[in-house]
Formats: sequence, structure tokens, C-alpha cells
Amino acid sequence: MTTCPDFEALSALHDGEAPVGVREHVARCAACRETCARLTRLGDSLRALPEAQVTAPPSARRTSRSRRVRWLAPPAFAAAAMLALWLGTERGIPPALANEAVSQHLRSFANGHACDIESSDAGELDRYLSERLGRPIRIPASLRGSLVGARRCSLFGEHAGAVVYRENGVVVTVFLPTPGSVAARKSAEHVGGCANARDGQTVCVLPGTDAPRLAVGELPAAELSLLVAEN
Amino acid sequence: LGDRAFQQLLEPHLGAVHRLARRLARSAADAEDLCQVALLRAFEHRGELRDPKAARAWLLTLTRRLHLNRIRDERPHLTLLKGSAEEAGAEGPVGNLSDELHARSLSDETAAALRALPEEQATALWLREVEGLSYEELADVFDCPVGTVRSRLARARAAMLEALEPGRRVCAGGRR
Repeated sequence: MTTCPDFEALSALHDGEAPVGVREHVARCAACRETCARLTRLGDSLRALPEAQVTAPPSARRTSRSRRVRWLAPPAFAAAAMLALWLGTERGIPPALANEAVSQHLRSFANGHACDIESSDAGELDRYLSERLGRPIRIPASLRGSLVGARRCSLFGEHAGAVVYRENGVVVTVFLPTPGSVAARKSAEHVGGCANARDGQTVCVLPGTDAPRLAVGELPAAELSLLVAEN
Repeated sequence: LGDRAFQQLLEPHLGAVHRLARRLARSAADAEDLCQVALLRAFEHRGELRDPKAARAWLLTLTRRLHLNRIRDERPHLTLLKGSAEEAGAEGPVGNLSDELHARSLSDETAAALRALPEEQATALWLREVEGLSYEELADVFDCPVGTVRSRLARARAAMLEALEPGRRVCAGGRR
């Protein structure tokens, strides 16, 4: 090929789909090599976009202490969320309550933010949630797993606290519904009940001091219900 | 395919679905919603997936069509933007402030140039460069011949380069 190929051919070369002779021409032509270099830079800048463009939800933002929790891949949780909704085999507590808890549990991972604040210091998390929710919060002590962090979230559109624990590598969220809220009222009728989904997600309604709590995670109900203390 | 097998088939591609939805949708919430509906639709229509090897293109096609259908169905409306400017702002830069700002500026320009492209061009370029779809997979996604994919990608790249490097001709390889 003695003449320069058109831009479409160089674009195809960039994709490894070049017509015969293009590669050989480019090897000898400085102008075409420069165009190919520009295409490479363009590709690099596009591949750099996904991280730059993803915007964290407001509830997940916090200042200097905020760090992302990444032990679980969002896609896997998205699939789990879909299966939980698709296959939903809740029993023991109302499906609407179980679905809302599972959805909120998984949504944080789909967004890449499980915690607004990461800390194993219960007092620090108490203060953080109390400040964010405008009422005194005392988070449940962990009986089996370790404390990871907390965030403010919503259940049925009303503010709630969420405390994140880890038990044998499994992440569990314990929701603290606001007393008198829809979630608290629905939960109050089913304290001690659990719901299982086929992919392993479990929801349990646990007793609490001022309102029942909702625990969600990929643990058997017997283990999930014993994760945190009542007080 | 059983439920579990189908889930395992889709899982490797959920990141691509999420990224495509994030690029197509107007907000993170819309993108999340689009992802969930796309996955639900995938489960509903799993019987239509003939070749498991084509799962990625099939899932991305489904996501894009859902998005396009939503746009068609939408009527002009005003969107109330909730939250304060502080909530809407990006997280503070970390590390070298100068480098961070420069990188952010470049990515903003690239994102703006991508958004300015016609949807078919922008999505084709995105799926090729970021997700690595082959020409054949892109032809499946867009239901068009491979030759159309090739010319669409070239037009997208030419427009992007002209937007990002104004004053520089993109036909440097076109000397006769």
C-alpha cells in the first residue's frame, strides 16, 4: 500500500480488525503512526472514565474518615439482589419487609459504599448515627462477628441506621428502624421471625431496646439471629 | 439453564452492565434502576439466550434497549434536583492536588465529548474501548452488519478527536 489508508482503516487497525496491508503501511508512515497514537490515547482516556464518572450517592459520602468497603463485588450482589427478588421465598416475615431489607442491604454494595464511617469503636458509631439520625442511638453489641462500620440509610423511605458487621467473612447489615416508622411497626409484629431466599440471603427480625432490628446477610437464620445482643 | 447456572453465567458481565447503565442513565439512581430491571428482564427472557457464549452481548443489548425504550416513553418533564450543592459535589481530591485536578479536567472533557456523540456512536465506542466487545458482538448489540460497526466506530473516534484536539485534523492518515 503506497497511499495512506483512510481514517476508518486506521480505526479498524486500532481494534485489531485492519484490512490487509494497513499494518505494513503504518509501520513505514509517520503520519499514520501519529494517528494511531492518538487513537490509543483516546482509548486510554475512555477507559479512565468509569471510575471518574461514578458518583457516590449522598448518603454514602462523608469527609475524611469515609472509606469504601470493597470486600464484596457489586456485580455479585446485584445478581444476588435480583435473585432474591426474582426467586423470593420469604417465610416467617412479610415479603415486603424482607425485600426492603435485602434491597437496602445489597444496594450499598451495588453502590460500592457499605459504610459512611468505618470503625470498630462502638462509641464512635453511636455518636455518628446519633448525630445523623437526630436521636440517641446505641448500636447492638456484636456477640459473634466483628464490627465494621455504619451508615444512615432509609427503610420504606424513612431514615434508619445501618450497622455493618462481619462474621466469618460474611457481611451482615443490622438495620435500626426509627421507632414508630413503617419498618418498626411492620417488624414489631414479627420479632423472632426469619426469611430465607434461595441464594442464601437471610433476613431476621431481632428484638431491640426501642424498636425491633432487621438483620440481613448470607448466614443461616440460626447464626444471624444470634449475631448481636439485644441491648 | 437452572437458576443458579444462569446467575453464574451472568455474574461476570454485571460490571459491564452497571458501567453501561451508568453511562446511559441520567443519574446513579436511574442507572441502578436500569440495572435491576435489565437483570429482571434477563431472568424473564432467559430462554431467548441461545448461545451462552453470547451472554455478554445479549445482556448489554437488553440493557441498551430498555434504556432506549424508556427514553421513547418519557414525556418532556422537569426534574427536581434534590439535595444541596455540597451533597451533589464530588469527593475532595486526594494526593497531589495539581495532578488530581488535571486528571479530573481531562476526564470531564472526554466525558463531555462522549456525551455529545449520537447514542449509537457513543455506546459503540464505549463498548469497544471499555468493555472490549468484538466487532461481531457489537453487530449483535446493534443488530447491524459488521461493516456498519466499523464505520460507526470510525465516525465516533473522529468526532471525539476533533472535540478533544480542536484544530488538529483527524485524517492524518489520509494523504494521497
